[in-house]
Amino acid sequence: MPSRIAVHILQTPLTMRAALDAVRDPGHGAIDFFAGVVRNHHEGKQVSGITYDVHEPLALRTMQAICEEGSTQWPGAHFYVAHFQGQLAVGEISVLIAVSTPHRADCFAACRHVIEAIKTRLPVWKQEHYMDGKSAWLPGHSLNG
Amino acid sequence: MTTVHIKYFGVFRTMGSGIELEIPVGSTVAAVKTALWQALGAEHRQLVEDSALADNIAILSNDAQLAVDSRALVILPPVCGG
Repeated sequence: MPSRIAVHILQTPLTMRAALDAVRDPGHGAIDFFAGVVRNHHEGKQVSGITYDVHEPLALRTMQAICEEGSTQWPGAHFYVAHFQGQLAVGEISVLIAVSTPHRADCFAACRHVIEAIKTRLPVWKQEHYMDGKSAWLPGHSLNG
Repeated sequence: MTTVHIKYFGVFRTMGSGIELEIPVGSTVAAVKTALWQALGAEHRQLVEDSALADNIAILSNDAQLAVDSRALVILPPVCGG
């Protein structure tokens, strides 16, 4: 069975139900989820929330490419990737990944492939907001080849 | 000369929504980046050099020549999604 790939940039809450429905398959005995969540601290500062800035057309292309790479490495795996755009409070989900495969080892590996690639390749930027009222854009990985 | 509009993302947004630059026709991406940091000030040189220029389809390599109809670009600072 060919891989299914669903990628989204959303300004609405990311839900496990949507991720589950996108990847479930009667031939797959494993589904792995990864959720990135806004943390309440960073480098000694108390964080109140994060604004996610996204270049949507390139982000969608990049997520699709990352999943296609995964489907080459793990043929037949299904992928769901959603990233939030806008402002979130502590505890809310910023990125949600689901992968299904016939067996768990491939599932864990494919899911990890997706989140590690997102961290270094997805055109998304975080502006952290702190409890003292200040904000800062976070450093990251250069997209220069 | 031609006018190129560069839209800002991430930390560049602290400097506005974007910038228009007059550059020679056929300039390379590297030359556009040089024009950008010169317009923004030398204190932004490292940030611009660490950033990528792109259109809505792909990231442009530094040695690529801008297409004649390349009027709208984006500057993408180092990313930190997830």
